[in-house]
Amino acid sequence: MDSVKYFSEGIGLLWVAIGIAAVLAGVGIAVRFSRMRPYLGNILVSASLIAVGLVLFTFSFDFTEETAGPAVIPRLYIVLILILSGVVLFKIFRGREEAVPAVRQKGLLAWVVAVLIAYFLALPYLGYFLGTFVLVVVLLHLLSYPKKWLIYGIAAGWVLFSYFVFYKLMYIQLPLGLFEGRF
Amino acid sequence: MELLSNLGAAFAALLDWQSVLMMVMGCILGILGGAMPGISPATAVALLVPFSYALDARLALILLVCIYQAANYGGSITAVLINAPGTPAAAATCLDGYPLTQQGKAGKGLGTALVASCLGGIFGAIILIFFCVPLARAALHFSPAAYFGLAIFGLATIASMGEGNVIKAILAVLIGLLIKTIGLDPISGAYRYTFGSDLLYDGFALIPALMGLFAVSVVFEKVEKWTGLDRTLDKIDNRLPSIQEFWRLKATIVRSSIIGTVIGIFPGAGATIASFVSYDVAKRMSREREKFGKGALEGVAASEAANSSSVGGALIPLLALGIPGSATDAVLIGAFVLHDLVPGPLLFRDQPAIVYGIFASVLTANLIVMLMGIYGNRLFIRVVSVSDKILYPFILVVALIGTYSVSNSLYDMGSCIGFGILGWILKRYGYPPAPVVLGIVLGNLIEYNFRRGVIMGGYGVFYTDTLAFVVLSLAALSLFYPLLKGGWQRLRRKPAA
Repeated sequence: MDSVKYFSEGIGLLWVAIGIAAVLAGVGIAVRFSRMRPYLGNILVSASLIAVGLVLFTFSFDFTEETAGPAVIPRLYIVLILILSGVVLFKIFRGREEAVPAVRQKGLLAWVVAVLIAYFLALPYLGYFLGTFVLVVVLLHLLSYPKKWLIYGIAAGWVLFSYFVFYKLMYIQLPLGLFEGRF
Repeated sequence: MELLSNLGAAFAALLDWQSVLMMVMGCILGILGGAMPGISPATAVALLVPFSYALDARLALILLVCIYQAANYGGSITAVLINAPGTPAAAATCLDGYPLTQQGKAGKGLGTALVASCLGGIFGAIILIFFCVPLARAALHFSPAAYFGLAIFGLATIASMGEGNVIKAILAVLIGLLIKTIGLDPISGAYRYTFGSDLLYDGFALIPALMGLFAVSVVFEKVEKWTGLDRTLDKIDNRLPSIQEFWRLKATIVRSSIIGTVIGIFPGAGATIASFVSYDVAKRMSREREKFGKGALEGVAASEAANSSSVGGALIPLLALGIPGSATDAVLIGAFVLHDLVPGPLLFRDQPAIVYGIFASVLTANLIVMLMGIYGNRLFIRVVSVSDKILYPFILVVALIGTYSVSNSLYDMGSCIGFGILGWILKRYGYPPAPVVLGIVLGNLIEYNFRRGVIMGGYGVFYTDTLAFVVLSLAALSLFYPLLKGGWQRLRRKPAA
């Protein structure tokens, strides 16, 4: 189906993602200002599973339709996910689920995740050795490792270990980025 | 008698210094390779296959099978110490192994894993030696419907893993199964859910999912609850389990070794399934079910005995029929080809020294691993005393490079981080990550055999095929029993109107 194909890739997929995000944001806002606020995260997880499930079910109409074809198994899983997520939502609204307390170290966690994502994106440019040196230094600083003078030594030690064991001994082709051709 | 005389000759041949060197090297490399998250036994063996070309065929295969056997124990080391399974099969070991470390009983966890692993490996090797041909013949008569049933039974065990949250555990499995449908359809070759990206043509590999869900998500979880306080060394007990504790595990080890060997025989059903099924069976049959997931020695023993004994089981179809019983077996076939050998019944006739050499070395490797584990465990336990401020960043870098090393792929590394975020979210809201991994592991097996069964015999094949019907019935009972039991208990608690 052309319409399904349009929305399953490129710009169409972007619109679908925006749509899902908008729906979940709407659900989140509605829950936040209701008596169910303590269950915001629980509800959003189930709602996400339902939203993504419905979208993926729709995308399955682009698969070949045949007996025991490629669409059968994904649809079976999605239907079960929709039913069970609905059961979980029912249990939440009936008060049979426990609320999850707020994240304690929001800022620290956000920084760690952000640093990890930045490391992954920068790796092709910085290369593994420089990138990992910076990653280890930043993470040790974030986690407040007390011996500041040792941080750079630990990071350098790991880089040397990686070089000799992974790169030289095991022939793992680590990305070199700026240092391509120099090792 | 012929078997015993050939075996005797093989053991005698192992006494030369080259064979001893190969076995010791294989065990060391296997333990180290297995202990490193991201380097599975298949990867560890594959890395050494090119180097084995310079060796005599017998020595090469001794080296490689020792790596294979020892790696399954090696995987338990990081599983117990830092909740990062070194091998996919050690994922079940994390469930009770890491809680033991958290309680300061790392020595008990490692000791139990060591003994169970070695005894399980010895059991599997004995079965391999005496039942190679007849066992492989029986397993090959199973239909696709029966294979499907076995996989569903494996999934049904998640009902018990989701203690108190059966529905969320089932949802976690379904998430894993759905993730596995991304990429190339195993039967028709059509692409599914690739969203126009060639990066998704092969879907998501198991190792990035494993590292993300088990290692990276743990780091996020720890950081979320970060207090900055370090573990104190005096809380760590590096004592091995007592003789009485080991003796109490005898039934678990024997039962799990049998389960692991039998499951290992089935092509495609390997150490990971064996360890999870064995863990579940041990939990069901235990008098102390509530201790599972909180540091039960039985849980560690069940998982490790099964995943090690599955090595012997997996080698049965490989050696007897040339059919790989696991991913590592598929790599071993490459080693056979490199030395102009064809695994199968003719190998027993034409190259008995090689076949019986493999039998003898698989058995002996377990004894060598036992010795290494007993004297090396204290060194491993020192890892636990490392500050969390160093440990968690290194868990991240080791998980990432381990993931990258599988296919030299940055995409896998990105997937690992993505699965880490997913795993943290799921765990936070009560969805266990282990069933997600199980779903990813079993996804292809389930889909492939389900659709083959339907294509060959229609949907009715699942009740006309006797073995499939029996296994599926057991799976249904296993899956729905906790749900029905919970519902019945709630009904009984309701006050009378």
